[in-house]
Amino acid sequence: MLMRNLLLIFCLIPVSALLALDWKPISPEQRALKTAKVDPNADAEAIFWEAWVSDVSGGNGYLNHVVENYIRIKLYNDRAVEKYGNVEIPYYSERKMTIINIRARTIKADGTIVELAGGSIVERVVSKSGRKNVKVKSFALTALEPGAIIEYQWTEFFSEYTPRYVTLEMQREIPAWEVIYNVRPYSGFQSNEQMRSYRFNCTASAWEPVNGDVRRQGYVRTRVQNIPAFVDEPQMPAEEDVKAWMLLYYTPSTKEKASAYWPALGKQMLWEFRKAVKVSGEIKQLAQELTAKAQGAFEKADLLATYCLTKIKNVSYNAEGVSSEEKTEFFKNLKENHNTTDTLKLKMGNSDHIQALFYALAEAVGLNPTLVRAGSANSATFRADFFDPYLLRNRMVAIRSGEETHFYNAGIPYLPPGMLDWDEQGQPALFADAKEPKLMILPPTPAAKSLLRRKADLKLAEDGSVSGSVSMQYSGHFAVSEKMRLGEQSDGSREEGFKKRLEARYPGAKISELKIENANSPMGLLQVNFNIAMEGYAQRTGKRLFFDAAFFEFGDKPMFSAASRKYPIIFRHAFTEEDEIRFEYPAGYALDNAEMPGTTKFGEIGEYTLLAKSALDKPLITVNRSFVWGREGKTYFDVKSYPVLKKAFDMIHTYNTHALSLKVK
Amino acid sequence: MRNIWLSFLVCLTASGEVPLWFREAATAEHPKYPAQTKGVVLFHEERVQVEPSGKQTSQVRKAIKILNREGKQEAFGAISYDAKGSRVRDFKAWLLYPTGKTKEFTKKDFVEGSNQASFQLYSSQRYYSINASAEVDPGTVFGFEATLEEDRVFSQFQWFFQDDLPHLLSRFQLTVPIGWKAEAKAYQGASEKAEISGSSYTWEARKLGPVEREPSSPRLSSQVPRIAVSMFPPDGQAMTGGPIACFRTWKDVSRWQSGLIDPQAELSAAIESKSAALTAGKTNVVERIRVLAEYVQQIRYVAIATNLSRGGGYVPHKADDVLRLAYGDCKDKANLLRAMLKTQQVLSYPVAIYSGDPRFTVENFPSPHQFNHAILAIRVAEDVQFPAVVVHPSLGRLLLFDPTDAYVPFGFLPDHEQNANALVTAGEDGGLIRTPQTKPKDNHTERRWKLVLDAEGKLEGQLVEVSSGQEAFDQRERSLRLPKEEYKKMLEASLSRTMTGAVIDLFAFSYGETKQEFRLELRFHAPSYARMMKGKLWMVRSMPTNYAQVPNVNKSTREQALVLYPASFSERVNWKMPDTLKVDEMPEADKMESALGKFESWSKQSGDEIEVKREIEIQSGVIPVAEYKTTRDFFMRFHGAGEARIVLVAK
Repeated sequence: MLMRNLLLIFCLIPVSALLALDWKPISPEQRALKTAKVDPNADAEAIFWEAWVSDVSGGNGYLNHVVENYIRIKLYNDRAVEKYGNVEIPYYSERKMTIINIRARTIKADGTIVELAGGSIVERVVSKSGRKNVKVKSFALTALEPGAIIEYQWTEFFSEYTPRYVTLEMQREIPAWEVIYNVRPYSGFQSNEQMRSYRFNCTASAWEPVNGDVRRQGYVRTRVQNIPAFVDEPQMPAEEDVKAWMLLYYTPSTKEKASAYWPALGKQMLWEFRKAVKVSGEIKQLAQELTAKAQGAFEKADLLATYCLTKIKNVSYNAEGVSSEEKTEFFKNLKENHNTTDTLKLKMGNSDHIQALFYALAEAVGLNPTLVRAGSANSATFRADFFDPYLLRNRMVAIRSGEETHFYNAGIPYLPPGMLDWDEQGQPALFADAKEPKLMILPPTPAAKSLLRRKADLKLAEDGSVSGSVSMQYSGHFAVSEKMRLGEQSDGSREEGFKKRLEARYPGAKISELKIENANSPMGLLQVNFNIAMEGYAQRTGKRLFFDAAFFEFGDKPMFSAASRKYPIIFRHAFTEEDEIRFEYPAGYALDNAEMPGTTKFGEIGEYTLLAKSALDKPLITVNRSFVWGREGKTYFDVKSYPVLKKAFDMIHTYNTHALSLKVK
Repeated sequence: MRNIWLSFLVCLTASGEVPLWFREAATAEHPKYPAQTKGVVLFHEERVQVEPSGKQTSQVRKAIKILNREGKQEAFGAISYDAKGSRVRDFKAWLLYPTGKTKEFTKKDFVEGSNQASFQLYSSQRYYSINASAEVDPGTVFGFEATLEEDRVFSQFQWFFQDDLPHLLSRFQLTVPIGWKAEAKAYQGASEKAEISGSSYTWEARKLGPVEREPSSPRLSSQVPRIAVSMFPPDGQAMTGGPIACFRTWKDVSRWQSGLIDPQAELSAAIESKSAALTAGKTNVVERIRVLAEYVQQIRYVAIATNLSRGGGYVPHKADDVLRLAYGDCKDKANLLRAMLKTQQVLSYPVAIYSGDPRFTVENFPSPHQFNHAILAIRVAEDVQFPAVVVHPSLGRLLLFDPTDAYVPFGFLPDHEQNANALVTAGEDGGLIRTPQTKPKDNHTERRWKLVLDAEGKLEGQLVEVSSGQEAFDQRERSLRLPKEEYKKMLEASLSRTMTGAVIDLFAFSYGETKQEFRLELRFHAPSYARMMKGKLWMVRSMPTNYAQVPNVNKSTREQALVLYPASFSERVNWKMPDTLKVDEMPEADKMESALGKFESWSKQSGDEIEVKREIEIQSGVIPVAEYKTTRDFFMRFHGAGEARIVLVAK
């Protein structure tokens, strides 16, 4: 035991000695600053954020990943004092992580320096389970006031860990004059592998050697300047696709070309995938039985995917049908070499297992399935010049017949056969064909495939109340996202939850007889029917009743309220909405100067129609509304398009709240 | 005989996996609840045994049946304890699946952590817990049992018989040292009568239904049945000073708290020097108090809580330390201000209060446990007039001040601390007081709109809004919490709700320190405000925006009381309409007066100019369910005045 302790101490000595950072001098100009440089409206800004990243030998034969951080922040007002005065640094035992070398100080505007007193750093266990724990080291900086500068340092120490991918954050929630990363590339992977870097959404400087400090030999440096704060905006693309960051990664040092790299990777990916694909006699027999009466490749593939979606329990999702007891048992008994025969035998698997089973079934009936790896709009999207599989996060299977290709992902519970998930549409993808893997663009799902069809049969009373029956039908991506949400709920509470959503749109309304059909089924349309009774739907004046023609958009709020925007806009999918509303109104009233917006086209992208017709023989108006958006896969808009897009959606909001008037005869 | 033994052994094995109390609780029949009820607590019990030394052993047992998928998260059990002087002696948890299969969790499944609140930098309060949500399904019963040993100074307990879930059986048992007695006070329908057996007292409630909190209702803790239990030593034994502190009167609580707090407010050279510097040149006492109060108010809020089971939660850090570090929590700030006031020969007293729900603290349970916040009562002269002044029978005029609230100025009290029971900690002279309540007019918002509508339906306008009292403090907080651009975006989004595409062209805001008024001025335009029909018929919402302080009364019925805060509002809109149109219909005048307030709305026309006005006064109060219909009618009519339309037709 004594020997072990000595070794531990010995191991730590060189590491801690390496990690001492000096405070950098502070100029009188920095102390005197009154307003922020990068963003004049900022409450605070980082004068610099510097990190030293290395993999350090501990002397015990293991390498430790070390990140030394040093940040200097100028506080301009009370908000900044409140926000940045307390510092919390979390660390995770699971990653064998510790935090060392915390130092902090406040430099007041008059130059007085107040060091963080020894003993001011508190540590707490956020959670501890078995050997896993999450801890936080925290401290409160003292003597803070607007105009002060705070700076602090800490070192993240990952014991016995050498990552192949390292994310360098270049943009945070605080604007920064400069973000600097100093990295000592690790040379201990395979001899032909070297560190490379890829810049996402930033123009960081080229790597240059760090000179002048013997302790920092072998480091290279990159920096980025004048970085605004990162802010969240509604309907923006994935954070990784707009935020500035850099990825360090290690790959063989051969100079690849895209034309050679991606086909080679495709072959390797297929080889890896096929390890779990076993086309056994049982699988062949099942595939034959399932497709016996089917005509054509796609009908066969649809049947096989339907089988996988409906007969194999998916443990990756919290959908109804798999009990927690079953899940626990499944993971307990999961073998390392689990294959498609096991999935079929257990009638249960995770998303990857189920997808592999579909592939095996398809292969068993000669459909020649192709493994496809694709980028995702849910994270950093694919870049063809980034020679690494890192961005190919999604996986599906393609079936070809003639010139046509259909895609299948039986691992997503509510995704109908032949349909791509929303984040895969329009994404580049690597078709891991055994003979000739290649990159292709996945097609978008047409707007007509994601249809929301709604009907209401309503009676409008003289007091402004409305009552009647309503039906709503969801297909395509509308159905997938609704089913994902509803599938996690129980019968009964699912209806109650939906009722609450309706009550939020129609304040004070009484919703009754609500029925949801197909919420649990991957196949078929999602259908919701209910009755509604609502006071005050129409506004009553002395002689008139004014009411919103587009009943389903009642209480609609503008999609974009901000006059300006920083980041692009993304719609998850193209869609079509079709509404028909029949209003039976009181007999003593007649339409007063009724006018409808008609049809408005938004170039090739979309179209909005709001029409009404009045019955000749009875007090009845039928309103038809349709809205198509995202034709030709146009669901992404750069920030320059924002004013035009906002104008279009403001116009749509005006149409959605268009009123009709009824006047006493 | 052998077979009998064999079946006995089988029984032992099968039921031995889970304790009998859990199996019995799990099989209890329960009523059918609404489909959205997540789960039912079949059994919840805490047994506390107190020894004369103050050592307390608590055993908690709970069994919850999960009723739907959303209820899986309810399969959670936790016990909270202080890292110093407490020990979790035992912690066990089980599942009983609908199939009859059972599972016992092991130590590796349990999670230990800091029970620190989000506003604390550090707390010695910890938890030991089990989260079984990933392993349960509807029909599964989750149960846990924990035993905690604590070295506590406290002699009082509060037991909430339920939370939002229905409870089949909820029980609290207290075993006091020999010769001691226990007494309970009961609230919200609970019974104070205990089943007594020797020195054990048991209170229980059965078949409690689910509670779903409605908007603007009192907090759940003020709605569910609860008991407050105090124990007392044998006659002749001291109430405080021993290992256990007992309280029969509010004076007892005051004395005990003073003993903890007073030594922390000692003066130091740094405090004297800082106070002198801040008050230099100020001859008026109130001005000196104000400058010190405002200094402490801007000190950063940082909470570090330790030694909680021995009363650490009531002891501020030394005033000198708080001054040096320039941060502290509510009691630290109140204590520092108290010390600084001492340098000016101004007496002040710490005040314990329940922040967030003025109705929570009850008079008949003298206990420090009824509070969660500390403020200060400053003795002031007869001529000092502020809304936050109360008159104490022996301490005289006291100005209440909350140095933790960064936005409510000196002289005022935040609305959630008004009309509440609060404890003035002043040794023998201390006791419970009722904090003052502001009137609706003290919290006033006045809006003045000048709006011009052009022939295309475009609106151009300006707004001047002046607010006072709590309305002003809230506005001030919003304006200071958000960067200016964000604040503008928020206002733009707010206007856009009723004015599509509204853009703010100019905006300015200010807070007047002398009148404590917040003033907001906007110039804006909205491209399509009027709803036009064939260019002949125009409909215009007469009041451009809503008044947010009106409670949500959309639902025609209600099951819980409605809480109202005092406020008043007046809004006047001066319209200039296009000269191509003439007015066909105007909003109708309306007026109503009742115990909960009054409102009035009217409009008048003069050529192409229209003036519309509405005003409302809302009294503070808790409206019982029986009076909801009248209340709803009152607010719906006021709401109707805001929604009223002006109808214009082509000339």
